[in-house]
Amino acid sequence: MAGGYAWLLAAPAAFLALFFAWPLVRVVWRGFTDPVLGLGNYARVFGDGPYLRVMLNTIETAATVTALCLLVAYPVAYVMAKTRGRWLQIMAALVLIPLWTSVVIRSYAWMVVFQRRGVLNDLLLATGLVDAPVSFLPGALGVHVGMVHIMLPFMVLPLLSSMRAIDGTLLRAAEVLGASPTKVFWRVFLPLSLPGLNAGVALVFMTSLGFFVTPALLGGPQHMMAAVLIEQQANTYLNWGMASALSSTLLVVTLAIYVVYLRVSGGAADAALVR
Amino acid sequence: MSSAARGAPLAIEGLAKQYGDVVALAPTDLTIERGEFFALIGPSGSGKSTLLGAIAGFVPPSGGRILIDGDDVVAVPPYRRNIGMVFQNYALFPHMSVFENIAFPLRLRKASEAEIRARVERMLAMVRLPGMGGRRSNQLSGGQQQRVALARAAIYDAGLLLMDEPLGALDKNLREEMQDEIKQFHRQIGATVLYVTHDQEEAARLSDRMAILNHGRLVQVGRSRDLYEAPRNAFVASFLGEANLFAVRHMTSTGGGLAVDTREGIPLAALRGPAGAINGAAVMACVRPEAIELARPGASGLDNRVEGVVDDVVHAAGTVRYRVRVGDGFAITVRRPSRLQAEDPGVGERVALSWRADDTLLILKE
Repeated sequence: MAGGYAWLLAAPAAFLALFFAWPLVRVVWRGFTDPVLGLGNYARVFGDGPYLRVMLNTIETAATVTALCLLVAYPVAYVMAKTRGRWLQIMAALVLIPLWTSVVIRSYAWMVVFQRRGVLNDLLLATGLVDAPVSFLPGALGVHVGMVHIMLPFMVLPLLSSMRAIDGTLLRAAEVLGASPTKVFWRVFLPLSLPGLNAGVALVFMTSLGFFVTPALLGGPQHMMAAVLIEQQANTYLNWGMASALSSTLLVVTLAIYVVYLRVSGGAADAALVR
Repeated sequence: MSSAARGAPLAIEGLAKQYGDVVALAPTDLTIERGEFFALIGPSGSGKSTLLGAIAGFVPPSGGRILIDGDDVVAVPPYRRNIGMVFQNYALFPHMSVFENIAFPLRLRKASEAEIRARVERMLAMVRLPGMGGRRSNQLSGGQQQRVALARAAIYDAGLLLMDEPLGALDKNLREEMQDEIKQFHRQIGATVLYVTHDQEEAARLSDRMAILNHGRLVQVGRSRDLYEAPRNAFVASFLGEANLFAVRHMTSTGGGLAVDTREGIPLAALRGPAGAINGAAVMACVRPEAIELARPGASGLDNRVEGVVDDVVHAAGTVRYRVRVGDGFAITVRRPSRLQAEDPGVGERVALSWRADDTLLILKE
């Protein structure tokens, strides 16, 4: 940043310091001091009991949602990248329009689908696949489907921008040089789409770790995620120290996974180059 | 790596491509000899890229056959045609090192690691990039990138190499240097080369023979010199070098040649008419600028004589280019070697132009 323009950052910096950095410091501090100074809260987080299980479940759910998003989004982005004109506009609209609807409304919509007398059960009963309504809610299936639905655009968009930047000549060159369409994909297209894939995976995984509304509505106590637990500690039990310790743990876990991911994805790119 | 006579002959029979009503390539026949360096030239939109794309397998032809080493490859997908190709923007894989780019075709062909290493090193030495295998392609200059592309296209001993304006992105000096390298490279590998360019000078420097395309049609095929000295029509004459063109009204045979009456009002003497008996209206006369002598008015000259006023003089790298206005609004271009003398006529001076009858080429209008 050129020195002459640094003052432009003063206002946003002050805003962040006041409304982001300071509360964050307070949260971390409170985790060690409320109700008494010490590691008591953290001993409970990592001790026997539901807290550690919720943390692990959070990471597992975020990973599953990310993997499912990638699986669904990659073919969608691939087709979009190969399409031009009107059809591309239609597909882009289909990807983007859900973003205009609030997460709460979309999560409730999934409740309508999954509940005991919901759309899915009606369908299963009508086709005779089951004799009695299946209990989907609360449960992992609802949480996964709801979260994948909400996170999908955040995977499709970076993938799409990465794929559209791939020079078509490279694909044709690979083909003349002897690569069948399958090999063109694995050896040229996929590696060149990795920047978008990495961005999408990071974005979806990080966001999923802190997801609240969908797991709160569809998950229930058996499939609780960290954000729901934190909210419960703060609002229901007024246990601010425990809520702070859990928040700090989630923050550290998120940052740690992000750093590891940067290493791994960067390392993979280097390895491909040296080989 | 055997280099002797491993080029594949290429034969094109009635190859055509249409997009709806638009003819990108009219039915075309062309035969290219084993190991020949053949250039395809023409303005943009002339069909040369369509022809190249059809041979590579990217453009499915509307009809016709493509025979590489005697086998029709029209139904064969690009990756099984075993053709080498060099692209204008190099098309090096940015996610691979120089070594891996060149090794790519060998890996696809399941060569052993030891063989790959040996052949890539040898190829790197051949394109004068020894020890550069570990670089990324974006760390190389344009000329170096094009050498990597050449190496990658040639490493699997394809009998036919396609080059699509490979030097189009380079500046003039580097382009001439690379032309020499490509020529030498061709001698070493012995493959048949089909080279697309819009630069007729580049085609002349590199190729054994060339074909000129215009509006999706093959206009003429031959050696550079043949095309220059005996262009089939006005398009070829003006595409290859400069040409003074006269619209012919009619021709009458005289004792030793033809007396030509032109629309420009300048009577011309020629030796031979165009190939085939054709009436005057479909014929043009072409006189090359360097065939014309320049003298003081009234001096005795050659078979064709016309006087005019110098309109413009340009000195450029060894040649002087005069534009001489003759009659009303018609100018003739004359090119003479530049010599260290002060007697060159200047702008506004009256001069006499003359040239020999056999330098008046009678060619088809179209």
